[in-house]
Amino acid sequence: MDEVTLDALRLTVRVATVATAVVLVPGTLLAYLLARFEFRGKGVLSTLLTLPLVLPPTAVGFLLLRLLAVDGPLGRRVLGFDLDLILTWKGAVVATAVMALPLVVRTARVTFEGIDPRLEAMDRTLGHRPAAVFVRTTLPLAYRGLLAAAILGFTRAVGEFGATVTLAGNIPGRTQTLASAIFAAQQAGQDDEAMFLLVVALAVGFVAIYASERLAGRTGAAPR
Amino acid sequence: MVFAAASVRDAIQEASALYERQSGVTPRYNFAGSNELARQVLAAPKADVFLSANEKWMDEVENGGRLSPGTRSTLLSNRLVVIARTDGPHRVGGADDLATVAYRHLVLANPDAVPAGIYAREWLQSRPGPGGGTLWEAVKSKVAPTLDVRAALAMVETDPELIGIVYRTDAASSDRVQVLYEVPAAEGPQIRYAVGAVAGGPDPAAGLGFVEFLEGPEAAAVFERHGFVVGTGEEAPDGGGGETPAGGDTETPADAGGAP
Repeated sequence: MDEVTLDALRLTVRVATVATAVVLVPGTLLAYLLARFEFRGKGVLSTLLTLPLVLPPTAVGFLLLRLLAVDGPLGRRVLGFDLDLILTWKGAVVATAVMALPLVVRTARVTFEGIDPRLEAMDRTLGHRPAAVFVRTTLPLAYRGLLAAAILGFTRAVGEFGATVTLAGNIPGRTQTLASAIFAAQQAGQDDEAMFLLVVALAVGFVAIYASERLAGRTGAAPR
Repeated sequence: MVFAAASVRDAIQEASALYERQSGVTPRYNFAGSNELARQVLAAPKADVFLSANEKWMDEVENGGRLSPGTRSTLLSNRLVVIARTDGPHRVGGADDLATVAYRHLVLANPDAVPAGIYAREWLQSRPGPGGGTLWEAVKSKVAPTLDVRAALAMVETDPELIGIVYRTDAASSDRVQVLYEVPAAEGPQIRYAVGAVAGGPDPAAGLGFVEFLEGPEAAAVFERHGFVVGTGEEAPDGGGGETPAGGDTETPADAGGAP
């Protein structure tokens, strides 16, 4: 495997892993909020969190680019420091995280909604605080669903292209993921390389999904 | 359906409005990098007109047997410019400065595939660099490729520490960027836009009519207003290239689907 492919592979795994990690905790908490509580603006929040799913990824990328521009709302001039996300691998993390968030939130929310609230109520009657109930009762019950949410988020991050390439560019060895490497090779008419990268991407996707499903199957069956 | 290089977007849409008023035909567009378009033209019979930002991708389409014979011509030429945001601190007075000025990234359309990027690379490869190699080798580690030339422009608009190389016409379309250096015609590569009617598309006759319009004086005025040079951009006595008066001579709707 040549250096460029290896770099793209490494970067893709790193970006997807970090993006999933970044999204998982806030995504889970937001999902729980939406599943268990009624509050003003809930519908708006839920819609906002789903938007990246329907927006074209390039539009999300462009929005991020404008937000993070030097004079944008999240730019250097406003914040007083540089987030350093344009044309960097961290930018790829942010772009994929935004694209993965809706899948994580929606999957986790359905999981929480499937858990009988009476189980949590029982735990509360034992005198536990809500946070303790969440950790002691809700999370263990939601474990498999949350794992599925993480897997979905991860696979979305692995495959994300439009938002990433718009915000982080396509710099070989630095911000070029498998998805953008495939596009670059195909764009340059290097079909053999594109095909090879495609096979690598297939292998990564297959291994990720297969391994996580095995994992979910085994860990889900044991405790009870 | 008109497949046109991303860099002519604004100008051709403006010209298009004129054409619509004259002919009652509303051209529809597919804008992208010419490389991508060429591959699409070859892959599926969806295009009636192809406007490529270089001759190379037009050659590909012609060699693929998809052009209506005699309809190809060099329509426009363009120049490369080095740009930065209007508040950018860096100054570039010539090619050599690209090796020394402390900008963060040199943003260009993919230099392996997209014409704007290929031209920029060719220009830098033709200049000597500080380390004995070419200037391209000196700046290569700072190059940030984008999907097409408009994406490079959008990127440069975000950060004064970035420098980009785009067409003069792209720079003219944005009030957020300034031209630091315009590559002289003698120094840079020849940037020529080729147009041709595509055979076997959904509406070959309309395609032919639109190509003729693009070669006419009204379209020329619009292109010039957008910063293009009409024709080859050289003082060649014969006007250069295929000035065949397109007359529907070889137009046979029957060869639809004849290409592989």
